[in-house]
Amino acid sequence: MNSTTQSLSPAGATTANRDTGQSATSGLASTLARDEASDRSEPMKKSTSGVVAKDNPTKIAVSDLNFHYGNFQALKDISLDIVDNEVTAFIGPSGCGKSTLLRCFNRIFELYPGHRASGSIEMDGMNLLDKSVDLNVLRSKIGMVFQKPTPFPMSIYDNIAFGVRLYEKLKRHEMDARVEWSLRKAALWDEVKDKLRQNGSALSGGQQQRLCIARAVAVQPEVLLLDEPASALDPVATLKIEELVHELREEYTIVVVTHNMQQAARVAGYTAFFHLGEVVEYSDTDTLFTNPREKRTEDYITGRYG
Amino acid sequence: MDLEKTGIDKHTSKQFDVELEDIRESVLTMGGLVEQQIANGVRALVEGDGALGEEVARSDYVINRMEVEIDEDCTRILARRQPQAGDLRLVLAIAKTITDLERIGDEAEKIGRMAVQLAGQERPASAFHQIDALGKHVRQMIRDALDSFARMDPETALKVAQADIEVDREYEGAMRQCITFMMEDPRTIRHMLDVMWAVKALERIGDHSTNIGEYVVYLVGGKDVRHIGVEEMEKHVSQHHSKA
Repeated sequence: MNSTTQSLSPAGATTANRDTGQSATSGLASTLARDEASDRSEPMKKSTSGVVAKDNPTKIAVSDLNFHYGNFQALKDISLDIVDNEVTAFIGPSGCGKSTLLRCFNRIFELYPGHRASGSIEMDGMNLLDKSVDLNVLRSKIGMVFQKPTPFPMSIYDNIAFGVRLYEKLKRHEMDARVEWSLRKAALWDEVKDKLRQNGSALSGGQQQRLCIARAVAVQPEVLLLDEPASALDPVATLKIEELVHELREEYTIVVVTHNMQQAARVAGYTAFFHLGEVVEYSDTDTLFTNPREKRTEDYITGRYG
Repeated sequence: MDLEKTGIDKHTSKQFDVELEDIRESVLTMGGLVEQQIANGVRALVEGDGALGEEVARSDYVINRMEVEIDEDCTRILARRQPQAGDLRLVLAIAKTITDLERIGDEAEKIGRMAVQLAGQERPASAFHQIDALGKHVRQMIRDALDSFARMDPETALKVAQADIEVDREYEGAMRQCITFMMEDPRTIRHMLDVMWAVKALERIGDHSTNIGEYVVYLVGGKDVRHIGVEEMEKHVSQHHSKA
């Protein structure tokens, strides 16, 4: 199992597939040389439209991560790098471990006994799995949004302000500004600006989900984890969330778990395909959806799974 | 046709298998028609059979209609199935293949019309020998291109690209001969120009067949081998072969 032992890094596609990378590079080089010879030295671009995978440095480096639910091993020697200020999607069938990995990033699994992770998840030089890393600090840096909208039973304003008060002492006008800023980031401000004192649960499903995103953004995290953020929403609300993710990617590192492969194809720069607790393939989204390397990936994304 | 070998089966949705297989078969049917049109066109030209030439020119509409139909099927599949990876490449390759097939049909129609014009006229037999040979070669090319598509076999596709070099050379030779005829006897110019149009049409058919071969290489290995020359294409195909 070659693919599980080596660290998968999408940014340098050559390191992700060392076996094939070599020949592909030389092929490209000679292709370019040929182009120059024929005086058409147009550089080969990966893509000219849509979401282009960014060549940013690594934000989160997962290495040799194993995860157990009691006796069941849900993740097996996962090693992969999440790129900074980019959207990375995890796809795969139910029970493949994609949500489990997402839950490792902010150690939310610690809520349950018998769940244990080993290995390392490094962000900015610290191992997130290390017990010495304070959970409150960790979760202020890494926000999470769940499948079902989970507004707190309080006003729209307080939904946002609640988290902020935990970490920062803001003056009233500063808090007002922060609430507006977060709601604007979540593309919700225009719809709720006149009813900030109303209960958050009175909003529609799509609005509630955007409220949750606003709440996650309000504490100004560095990473946003989205676990099936649009699966309970109608198509219009889904597109709004996707548009939002696309905009947030300029400032945040976003990891999104989704069952909707088209959604991954639409929003993510990089996509990882999980199967039975392993990362089968991890590459830029264009490659994964047009010319995947692994047969298991091809079978899954073309609807031949199982 | 063995479905398993082409690898388009085994979707969880069996209906999707059927839809993909349907358009694949339509392309092969269309290809068969196109090949027949070339064969008839060349025969009409070489044998001076005006009636057959007329029929070739008249039959092109069937090919045009098939192109439109298959194109609609492709659009429908893209819209309703959102094919991915190999399936996506198949639909895209088909959409392009039928465009080239339709163009080949147009070239065959041209040859048919030239056959009608040239039918009643006095004819230097030697020029038609070359057309006959050229016609056989390009027919083999389109047959190989369709065969490589049917079996999803990049090696045969490569053979098409290699054959095109030879066809281009023959085309040059045929052109030179036409020019020689015209210089020797200017009264043949009008006649020879028609012959040249037909020769040109055959050469174009070779180019379109090469394109179809390139789509097959893309379809199978995901590598776009257009505009990179035959040597590069050989490298890609042999790489793919060593992987498989």
